[in-house]
Amino acid sequence: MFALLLAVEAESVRNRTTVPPDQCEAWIAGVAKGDAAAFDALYRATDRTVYAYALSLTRNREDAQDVMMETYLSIRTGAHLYRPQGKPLAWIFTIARNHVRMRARTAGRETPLGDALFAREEPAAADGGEDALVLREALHILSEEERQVVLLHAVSGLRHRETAAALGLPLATVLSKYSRALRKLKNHLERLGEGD
Amino acid sequence: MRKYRKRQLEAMLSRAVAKQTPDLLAALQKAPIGGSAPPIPLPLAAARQAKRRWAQAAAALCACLLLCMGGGTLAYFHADAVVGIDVNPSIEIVTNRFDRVLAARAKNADAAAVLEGLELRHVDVDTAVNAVIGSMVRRQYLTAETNAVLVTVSGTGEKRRLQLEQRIVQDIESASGQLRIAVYVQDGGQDAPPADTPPASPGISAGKQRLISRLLAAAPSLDRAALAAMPIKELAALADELDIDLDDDNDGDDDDEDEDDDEDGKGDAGQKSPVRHTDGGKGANATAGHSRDDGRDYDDRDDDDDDRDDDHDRDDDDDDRDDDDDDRDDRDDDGDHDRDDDDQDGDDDHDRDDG
Repeated sequence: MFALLLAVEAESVRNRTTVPPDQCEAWIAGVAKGDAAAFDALYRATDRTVYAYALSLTRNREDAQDVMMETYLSIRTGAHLYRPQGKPLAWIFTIARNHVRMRARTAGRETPLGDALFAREEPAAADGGEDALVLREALHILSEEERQVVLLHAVSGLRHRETAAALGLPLATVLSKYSRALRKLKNHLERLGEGD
Repeated sequence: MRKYRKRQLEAMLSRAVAKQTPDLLAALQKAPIGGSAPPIPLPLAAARQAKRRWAQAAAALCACLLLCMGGGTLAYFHADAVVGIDVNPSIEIVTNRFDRVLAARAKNADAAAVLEGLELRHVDVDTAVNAVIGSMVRRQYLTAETNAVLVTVSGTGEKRRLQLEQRIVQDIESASGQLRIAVYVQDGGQDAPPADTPPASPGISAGKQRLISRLLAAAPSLDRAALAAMPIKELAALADELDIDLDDDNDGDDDDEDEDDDEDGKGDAGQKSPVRHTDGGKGANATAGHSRDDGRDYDDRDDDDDDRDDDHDRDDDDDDRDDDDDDRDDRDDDGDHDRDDDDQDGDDDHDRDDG
């Protein structure tokens, strides 16, 4: 039974398909022309990715939601500024990252973007069960880049190559960071279990 | 203790995030487009790349500028030619390829007196020569009696040496005013004056030293010290006597061959004169009896085509002398012609043969 559950989980991860970049760019072009349907399609295709990325930066649900909102508003108003280069996600991530920076400045926190940026960490969700606990610990113990590569791959289903392109990192860096981050999370969770 | 597998962790994270991902689409659709929406705050990737390209272009431009400035600075401070001016004061003026003075060296005490108070560094070579000659006249080193100047240009290429010699001669003539200066020009060759030449006297310039060495080579019985003490006018006369061509550096380098191959007649004209001498085109001068005034000064060589034609005519009469190695003999014959011409012109100069 447990093995079957694992197989289903693995399959669910593998089945998540990402939107081809050219399709994404076509939607952005449509948004630039005021096409509401294109905006809906773009949102549905990217919402989890954008939220995961915002969460990896803010480590806080409310802040991530705000950043997500501002990011999509910026996409609506600034879609005409996008120049197709085959990396629409990188463009969206840039907007999200800029909003995170602006929020940090507005809040008077001039520290560089990093773990110390947002003081509030994701509280342990009372109703989230083990999944919420794993996410909370991941946000807590992983570095910013580790959070990004883990969440973008595990949550958004981006391939490592796509993650590397979107974040502007070498593929080898993404692969090693991902492997190291998951091992770190696994060991941490197992030590946590021993303590309990 | 719970054991986690990687795929299991991925799935747990995915579920957790999916559960808390908000659905903002309805709110976004209601949000007004335009004014109230936050602008894209910071440069996008394309803009950043454009900025980077500009930065790279600016960096490349700066590098080019630095390179050019460095090259220009190196070229400016590289000594290209040495102009020796000998009267009794012996002065050497080092110039760069832009004809700016890098240094002015006094080779003896008289020269030091001449250069005293003159700041010649970085000034144009014409200005420097003017100042030096003017100072020599003021200090009575150049007078109606002592009015011979030996100019020796060494270094750089042959064509540029000739141009430089011509400029220096003109400068000296213009700076000497009413004095009728006899300017003897000696080609110093492409190389710097040989360092192993024993100095005839501590206060002697490279140009004068070169002339003395050549006199000694032609007449080993002469006394080096005595030659060093002789004024330029007498040395030039002696060179004339010994049939030494000051214009021919005789160092066996390519310069000599170039002159032989010179088809425009300028090189031949200069080479045919055993003693290249000008009196500034002022007719009779105080050097009568010591130097031949064949009227073949630089101005004539450059501007007077008829003179060159005459030279060629004489060449033709001399049985293809340009083709053999007896150039010196040819020049003797030409010189005789010249002197004859001068005599017919009523010039007061005594030619060497008469003397």
